[in-house]
Amino acid sequence: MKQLSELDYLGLPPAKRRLHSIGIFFSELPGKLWGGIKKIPQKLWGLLCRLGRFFKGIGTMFADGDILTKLSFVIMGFGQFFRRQIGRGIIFLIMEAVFIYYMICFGFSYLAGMTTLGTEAVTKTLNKYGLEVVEYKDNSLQILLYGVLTIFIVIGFLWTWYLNIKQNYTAQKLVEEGVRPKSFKNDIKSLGDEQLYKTLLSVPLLGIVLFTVIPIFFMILIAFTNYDYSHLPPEQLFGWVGFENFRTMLSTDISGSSKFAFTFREILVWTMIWALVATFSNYFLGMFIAICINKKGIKFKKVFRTILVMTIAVPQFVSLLLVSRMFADEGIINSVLQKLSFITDKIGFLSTPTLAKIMVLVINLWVGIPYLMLITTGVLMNIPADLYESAKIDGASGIKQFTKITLPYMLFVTGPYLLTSFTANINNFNVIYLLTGGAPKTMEYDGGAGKTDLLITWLYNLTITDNDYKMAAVIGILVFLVVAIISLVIYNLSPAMKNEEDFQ
Amino acid sequence: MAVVNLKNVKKQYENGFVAVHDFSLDIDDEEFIVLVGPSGCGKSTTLRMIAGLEDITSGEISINLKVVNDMEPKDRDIAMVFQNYALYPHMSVYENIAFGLRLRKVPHKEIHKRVLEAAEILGITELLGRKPKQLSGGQRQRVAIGRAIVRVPKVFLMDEPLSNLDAKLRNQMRAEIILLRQKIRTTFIYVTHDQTEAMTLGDRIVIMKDGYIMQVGTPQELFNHPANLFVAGFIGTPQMNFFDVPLTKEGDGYVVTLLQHKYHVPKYICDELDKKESLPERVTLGVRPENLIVDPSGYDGIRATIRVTEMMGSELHIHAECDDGKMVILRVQIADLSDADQKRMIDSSEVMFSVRERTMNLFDPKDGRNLAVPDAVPVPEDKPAALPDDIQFDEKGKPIKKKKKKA
Amino acid sequence: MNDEKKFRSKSAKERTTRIFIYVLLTVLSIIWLIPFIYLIFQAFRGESKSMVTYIFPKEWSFENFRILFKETNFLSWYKNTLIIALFNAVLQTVIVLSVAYALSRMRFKGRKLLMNFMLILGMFPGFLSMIATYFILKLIGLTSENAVPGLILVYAASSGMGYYIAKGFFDTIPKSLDEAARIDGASRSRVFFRIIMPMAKPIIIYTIMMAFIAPWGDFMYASLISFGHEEAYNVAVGLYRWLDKEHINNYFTVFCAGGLFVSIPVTALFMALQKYYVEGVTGGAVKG
Repeated sequence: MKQLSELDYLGLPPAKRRLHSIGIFFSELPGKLWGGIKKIPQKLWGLLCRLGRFFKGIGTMFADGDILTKLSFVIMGFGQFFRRQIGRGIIFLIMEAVFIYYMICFGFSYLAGMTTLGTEAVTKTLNKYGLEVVEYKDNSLQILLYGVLTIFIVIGFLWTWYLNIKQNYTAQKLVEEGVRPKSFKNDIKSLGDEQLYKTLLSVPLLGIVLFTVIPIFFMILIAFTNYDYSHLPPEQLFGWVGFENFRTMLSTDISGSSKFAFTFREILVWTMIWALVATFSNYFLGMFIAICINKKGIKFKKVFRTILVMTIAVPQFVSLLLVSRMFADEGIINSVLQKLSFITDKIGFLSTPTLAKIMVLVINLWVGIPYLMLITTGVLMNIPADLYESAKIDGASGIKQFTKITLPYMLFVTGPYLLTSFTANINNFNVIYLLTGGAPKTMEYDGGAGKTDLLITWLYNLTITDNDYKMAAVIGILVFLVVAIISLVIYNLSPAMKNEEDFQ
Repeated sequence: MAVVNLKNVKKQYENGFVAVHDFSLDIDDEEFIVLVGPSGCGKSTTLRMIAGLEDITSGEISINLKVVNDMEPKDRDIAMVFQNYALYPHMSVYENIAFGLRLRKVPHKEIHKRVLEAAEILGITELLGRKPKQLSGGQRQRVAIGRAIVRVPKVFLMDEPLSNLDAKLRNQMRAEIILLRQKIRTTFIYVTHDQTEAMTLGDRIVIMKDGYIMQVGTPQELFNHPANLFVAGFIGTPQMNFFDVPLTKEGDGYVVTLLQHKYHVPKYICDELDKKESLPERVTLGVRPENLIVDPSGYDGIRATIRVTEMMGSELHIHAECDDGKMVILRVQIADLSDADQKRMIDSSEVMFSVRERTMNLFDPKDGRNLAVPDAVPVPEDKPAALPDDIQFDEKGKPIKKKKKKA
Repeated sequence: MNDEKKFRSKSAKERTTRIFIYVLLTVLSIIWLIPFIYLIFQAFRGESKSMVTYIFPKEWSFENFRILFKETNFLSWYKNTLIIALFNAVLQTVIVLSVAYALSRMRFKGRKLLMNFMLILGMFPGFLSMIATYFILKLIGLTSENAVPGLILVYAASSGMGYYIAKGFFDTIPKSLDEAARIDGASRSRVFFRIIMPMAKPIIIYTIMMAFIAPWGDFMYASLISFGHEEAYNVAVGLYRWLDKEHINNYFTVFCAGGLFVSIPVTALFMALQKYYVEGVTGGAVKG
């Protein structure tokens, strides 16, 4: 397909124009993909080069360094002492000492244990009275945990060591030029100034590393073990099983032995459907209500907004649990409907598979629309009024004004929010778990899953009820991959399909 | 082409504020009407009522003799150019112009033809593929005009379209609007606060203040025979000079005395004065700077001390102070002076001037009306700048904040 | 010519639209409020503790509240959650504001890398890391009976990742303010405390609000960390149990009373500070 001249292109009716753009897009797509693929080895090569340069840098620092710098490679803080940076010198030296002590006493043994995750869990011997004495030996969990911690400590130490020699080298160069290197007092002061970010970020980052990075790393490793209810420390050991768990989860075998994979696919599909419908229904309906309330001539704007905002204020677990009981088979909704003779039998709002899925989406509207209404109201107020007036004079009906003015503006401003909202809905634990608990449970599914379960609620059940940690870890990793791929794709498509600068 | 009639149109808001009082005007087919006045005079509100963007509190607006008070804007067959252009940011220039036509389901071959024609007239054919963000102010404005003309409307409304342009561009666009008007014979209603635009563009001008019509007339009428003090001061730069002088009868006619100099009132004004029941003893004499004749030799006339001279290139604007302390503005064409006179003018500290009698205007000092114009409208009193009700100040002089009630 | 065509009256059209909208909004308001009205009724219902088939109570009484306070662990759950909320309000605010400020105002090597890294970290389902965090906490002994400090630690530690809205807000404060202060000789920390923070009142209040309200509604993490130890539950976990099959017939109305008692202070706080919430959400979230 070839590009049209500009005037010809503009002269096409809108429908044909869009087809033309799509046609061009697809015809160019193979070329772009190929270009992208060709870039990958390029990028890898660039990465390798940078690594190479990094090590070369270290080598240069050694070769070029004077005796103080060279010694600092082994004894951290050495150079600092002699260059009047006593405070720093002491800190580095202490850190080196602590690290060496730790590694000798604990570190090496943990690292060693990582390969096997323990050989013997318990020994049961009989003591002199003939009673069983249980001695706990290797605890796989502890080994793994401490091993991971040790790995991170080693990484941390290596980074500190690198800082140490880099500082030494820089200080050496400064001294050669006749400049006095910064004293410790200077350091402290700059922590409140140019280096304020270090002060501000150090504690939060430490927290994140400890309580997010290490756990995630740990869980990724668990996905490669067989840690579940039949391999529970301290009674039992678990060990490495490579990719077996992934094979179980992703196999395309429809026979009974791979119910897990089947369950996974079903739940994945439902999670995607749920995330899509939930996000967009909330978005458009919330926008619609915001527009209604915002319309010229409507009074009591504040009252309506406040009533809707109240649902955000009440803690979700209260409202969701309550609503789940209201729609239960014995719940008030069924009772009232029966009393008013609208129905004769109870409707299984939350206990029939398809109906439960629909109800869950509807109730999610009740929960989510107020948020969207707030956000869209803010944006709505910023759209220039004369755009609408001009359209009115041109003859645009309300709907046309919405599609041609309101919607493009909204999508532009709240685009990023939509994406984060979508990924958040993929992991929306509360709504599903509190409303249905994943019910109705079905035997078709493995791992105690139900028809309204999302990947994340299934993960929860596997952990708490089944203690099937390994599969839970696998699911977690797969959810991450799904979310990451979707985000990447959308981020890369958006400059091509949307035109951001138009609205500035 | 359309005839537009406004009859006793009034606009009052919910909080009681009256933006337009009793506006009546008959606009002929293909006429170019300019509504001009200071900010807040009601000109934009009137335009918006004609467009259908504001509700009419009372009165009637008709287009081609059909009352349109209750008609949707899109049914009135009008087009409007906004001050901020109101271009749809995510559509190309082509699509912006074609928007109205597409809505009316015009066949797209026809749309293409009309858009290209409009682009040709306005000289924006190369810009058709661009987005508004990529255009300059003048270009955007042309697109806005293009969007309006492509609809071939009955009435063409323009709301301060040149206000956002720089001075040079504004002059250029003014000329282009005049050219445009020659190409498209439609009724134009144009709103501006700039009296130069009003004077150059309009067939007839409507001057407004505080929601009232001050005067309706051709540029020449407004210039030579302003109906009241406001119009006299608004039209023409530099502003007309006003003097507080006594009016006395002398023989068959009348005489005004300015700083011990007597000037005869022209006959047509005397005739009007005679028709009146009572005459004020003192009147406001209005004379434009160019009608105060400066004696280059420096002998004849009223004396004034020069305070500031502005060299405008071909003429000199002199701000001088009379013996009684009153400031007066004079205009002197430099080309009319001999070299010797020029030198004397620039060097001296005094100037002598006299009044060109046939150009004088007399105004009633009480209500500002021109005594020679029979149906002149009085100037509305200036209201003090609006403060929210009952602002009170505490001991430190800071205003005490009160909760504002939403209108 | 258009003059001959019939046209729809503008005011009539506007009126019909307005009536339609009023009706719609009223209906929606009622729907939105129904569950809460139901909650209030049930909380004060005197007869029978289970769910019943009618809406309006026959007897009004405070019995449920009495049971709530005297016969269950509700008060200790409430106390737990309150403590967690207060600590979290302080800790999380400090951390979030520090991170948001550092990332918004300061430029340093690795800033983009750090932001991308946190973005990717956020793509892992939160619960995944919870399992490992549980084990780490067990190591330190902050689980089960000591769930309360454990939860505080967990909330605070990972709160740095939730900086987006605050950062968006800081981004809108013009950098020229910082620059003027630095020319005047202020160090960056002084700029932070003396200049930026006072201007950031809306976002500070928003952050405190969110940090305080969140623990009241957290079920997932609290249930894991305090598993099995009733005295360490927070209100969400505790109330949840009353609705399962074994308890619901005796505890439904008590649940409603508890739910009401939890909702009222949180809702009141929210409504009072609603202005800041709206400002925070619309200002920070959508600037992208």
